[in-house]
Amino acid sequence: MQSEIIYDEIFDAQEHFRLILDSMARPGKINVIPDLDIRMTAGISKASTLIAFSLLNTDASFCAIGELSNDIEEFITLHTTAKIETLQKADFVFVKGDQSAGFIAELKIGTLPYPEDSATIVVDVLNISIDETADSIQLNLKGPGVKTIETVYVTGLNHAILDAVREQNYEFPLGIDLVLTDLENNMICIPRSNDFTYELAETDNQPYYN
Amino acid sequence: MVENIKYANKYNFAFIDEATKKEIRRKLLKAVAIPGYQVPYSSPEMPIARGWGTGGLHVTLAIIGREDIFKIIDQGSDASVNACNLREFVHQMTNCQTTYDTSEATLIQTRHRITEEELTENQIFVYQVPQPEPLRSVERYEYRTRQMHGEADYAKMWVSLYESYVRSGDIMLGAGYPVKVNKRYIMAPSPIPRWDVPNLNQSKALHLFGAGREKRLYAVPPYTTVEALEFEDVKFHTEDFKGTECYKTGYKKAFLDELYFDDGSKHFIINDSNFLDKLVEKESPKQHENKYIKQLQS
Repeated sequence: MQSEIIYDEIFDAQEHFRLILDSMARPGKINVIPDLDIRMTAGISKASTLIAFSLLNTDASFCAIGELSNDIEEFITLHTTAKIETLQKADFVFVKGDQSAGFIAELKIGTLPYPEDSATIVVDVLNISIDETADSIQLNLKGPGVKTIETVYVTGLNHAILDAVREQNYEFPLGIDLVLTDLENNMICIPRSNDFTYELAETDNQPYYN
Repeated sequence: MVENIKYANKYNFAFIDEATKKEIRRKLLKAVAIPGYQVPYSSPEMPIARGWGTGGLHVTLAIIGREDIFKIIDQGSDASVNACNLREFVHQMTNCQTTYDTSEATLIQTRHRITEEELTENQIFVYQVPQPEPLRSVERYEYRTRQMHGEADYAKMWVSLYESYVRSGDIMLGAGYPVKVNKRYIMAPSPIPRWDVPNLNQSKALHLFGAGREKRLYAVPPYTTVEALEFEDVKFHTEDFKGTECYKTGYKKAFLDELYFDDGSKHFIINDSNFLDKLVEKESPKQHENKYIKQLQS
């Protein structure tokens, strides 16, 4: 298997985890996952693949939705031995940013005594940047980990997903945690403790999502 | 002959096997996402007994990488037994650079103190926690305390603080003073003195707590509100060192240890060994800032 040669299960996994931990502890901080020449499958970004490699093993379950989801699930389970689960039971969910937001309401959000028994969604978007770009969503993050307010611009994300996440995270500590990755291996995290708002760019050609 | 590189070491890097590390890492991410909430975890066997710092060690070994510079203190000192042994262990298992210098370290493990020197955004601070459950003194059963945390039902805790004040004229909690994190969870900050509690509030560093014997992980992300429990009329206060100073440096604004010399005379000395060394060397390390330190006379 190619991944065994290129991907170091000890040191690459550790390095990537530290970046995820840093992004999770500092919502809105953009970390770049180092580029590795791993074998890929269509339909999922490299950063999301590396996050899966770094966090998943046979004790964790996951689910991919959208186009090519079967290929993605087969690929991830081959390389990590993680269990494929239904949307309602999965620990990790891999989706693309243009997915319609209906799936969010299906995900597990934990129980009051055990709020950690909840899903983490890894979303592939097109671009994450600290500078405004065309058609970007302006994310304003505040809460634990953010000194005052952190602003990030994201393109290729269905804003209905953000609405649905806000709704699910309303009853803190219950909720889901969000990881966004883009095509250039940038990553930000939005933990459930974050109280974020967003603004759409003032353009007429805002992409349409259902 | 083909040289065996993969199994050249007797142990996996950082001792713990990769499957368990991944489990601890996933739990740490959840702990960071729910500040102050205690996440149950596996607490694997270590070559030291549970309750001797295994929780902190699990966290350290699950996150440490080859590039990390590791510092460990026990009661403020780099040189006490627990710190020396764990430092040696982590060094043998990872071959990481170790240091005494607080500002140089990227990963600091601690038993019962926060460093006197201010932490930075590039540092992770790991605590060895003996008793992670702040409500244990008022509620014996785990399923009940979980329910209380879930419902943010902290009435019993407040009553116990009130009773302590009525009986003794003060809230008689020294080390491990309970705090409220992000205005939601009550958390045991591990047995750090009251002096250190305000330094958790809006800290620049990420704080991770590991309780190995009790099998719990929790976290305080940077820039998070951490408030010591206090009443409107009975306020939290730090230890009072009025009329004393460090006998080596004359410094008054640090947490002091009491020493008795052979002739029976009493002296005080700065508890944080690296901070003391830096003051003796006439360096001026940047200290934590909080309103309790600010009101002291230098």
